[in-house]
Amino acid sequence: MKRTWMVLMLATMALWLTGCRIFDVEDDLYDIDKEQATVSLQLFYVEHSTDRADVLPSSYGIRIYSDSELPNPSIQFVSARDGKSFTNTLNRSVDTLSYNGYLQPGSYKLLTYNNARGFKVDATSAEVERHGTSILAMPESLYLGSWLEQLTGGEQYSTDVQVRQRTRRLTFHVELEMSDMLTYVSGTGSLSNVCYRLDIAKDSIDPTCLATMPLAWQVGTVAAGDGTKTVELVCEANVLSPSAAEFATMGVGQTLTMEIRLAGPSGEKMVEFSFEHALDEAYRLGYVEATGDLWCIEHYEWRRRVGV
Amino acid sequence: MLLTVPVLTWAQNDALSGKDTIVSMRELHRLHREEKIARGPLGRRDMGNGKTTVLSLRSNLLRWLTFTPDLGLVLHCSPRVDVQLNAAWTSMTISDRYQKRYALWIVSPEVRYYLGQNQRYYLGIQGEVSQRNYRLRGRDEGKQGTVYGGGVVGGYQWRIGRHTSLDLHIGAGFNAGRMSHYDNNSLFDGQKPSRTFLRKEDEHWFGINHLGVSLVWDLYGRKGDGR
Repeated sequence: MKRTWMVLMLATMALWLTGCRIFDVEDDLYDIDKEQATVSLQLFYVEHSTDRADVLPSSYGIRIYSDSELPNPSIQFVSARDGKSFTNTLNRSVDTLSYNGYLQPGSYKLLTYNNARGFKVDATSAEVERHGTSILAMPESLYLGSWLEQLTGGEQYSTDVQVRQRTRRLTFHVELEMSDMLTYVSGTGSLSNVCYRLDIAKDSIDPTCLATMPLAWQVGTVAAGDGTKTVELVCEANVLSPSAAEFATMGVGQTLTMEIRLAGPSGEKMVEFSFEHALDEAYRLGYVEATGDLWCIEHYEWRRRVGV
Repeated sequence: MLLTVPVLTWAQNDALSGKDTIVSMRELHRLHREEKIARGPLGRRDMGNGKTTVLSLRSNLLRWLTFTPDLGLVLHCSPRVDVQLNAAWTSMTISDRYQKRYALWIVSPEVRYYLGQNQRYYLGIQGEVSQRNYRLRGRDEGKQGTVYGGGVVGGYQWRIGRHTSLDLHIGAGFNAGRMSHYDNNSLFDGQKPSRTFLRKEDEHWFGINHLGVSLVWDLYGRKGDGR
């Protein structure tokens, strides 16, 4: 009998302790006028290339995830700036959006980014498109902002989101000094040790790095000398960047590998060579020597005379 | 087969008093059957060991069939009068596009008066307070609210074991409550649908509001004849 009483008392106690939740069988009902409810977002472009104003995104997506959808969200594309639902006023660095809708109380993560070709973005990461063991050398510039907040509810909600440019454009210049008997035919190459994945939650770069796909070289200036000539080759790469102040190279040295095909009196000849350098270090040097506008530092000149 | 019986049960002890303590198993069972026939069926509150039930635990099996835990306590106040307090609770949500829902808690006090010599039939009155939340079919509106009710109850209860009874009961009366109707709508395009309020309605109905097949277990007894 004592045992029965003890079981009964324990059961009663358990019922009492959990009573607050147990007896809550009624759900929250939202009695709102959806037309009056508004979510306003102000997007601030806090880091972007001032010398490339034309690359500010002309359209972008906004996705809002609730707690229950993380970490494996069913991605919900809410709207785009060029969609019908949003009204916006775009100026140089601020974009204001408003939307009729109601965010019920809870934790939300908002992600806004432009649909940059060559990038794959989900709730947790932004990743440069991969092809086998190589990544695209020239994805479009990515502008991304994320925001995480606990909402207490309310029919009028507004917030600010900081949007940063997450890519840096590199320009490589290589000067080939050669006999004027030779002619440049074609060139190819790749840049190694480039990180390609941004962890959005931590706002940091994944240290795994890959080489780029072949870079597209173009012939720049050609200067004639005494029995020689100097041919300038130029190519560009757009690499992932955690912010405007760093390159996504994690301090590791990069190698620019080139294969140049030259034609001469005895036929065509393939020349291979490589340059090694730590781009982040080079970038800092460049910053010191530049005019002081942080956002303008995008060009990295890598000059080397190659005798053939 | 011979068996030495060092410790006897109450029935065996009565039957074998003054006799040899070595009997066959078949003889023991025969004596037991004869003793039960001589004593007659156990009374409603007779625990069979000279004690009378004062407190019982009960549970409506029909509610358990709907995944609703149900328990109650019975206080036997006098030979013919019981006072009960029953409670049931459940909370289920089916995560489909309609978010079907079946949730309730009920607290139901009841007073019974047992009729006849064997006190198997009874009549009583019962009250009820509950919170309910139903959305059982997808296309229908859901509704939730607090309901009050009461009525008369009757039934039949008999012993099926030394400490266990079976109770069949049915009741009729009224229920009334103010129910909030709701539907599932998105509050934000692309957002998972939420329960949105539609209207409030007063609802009341008369009819059968109580039905059960319950098991009753003796919890606590005191010395005395319950028959």
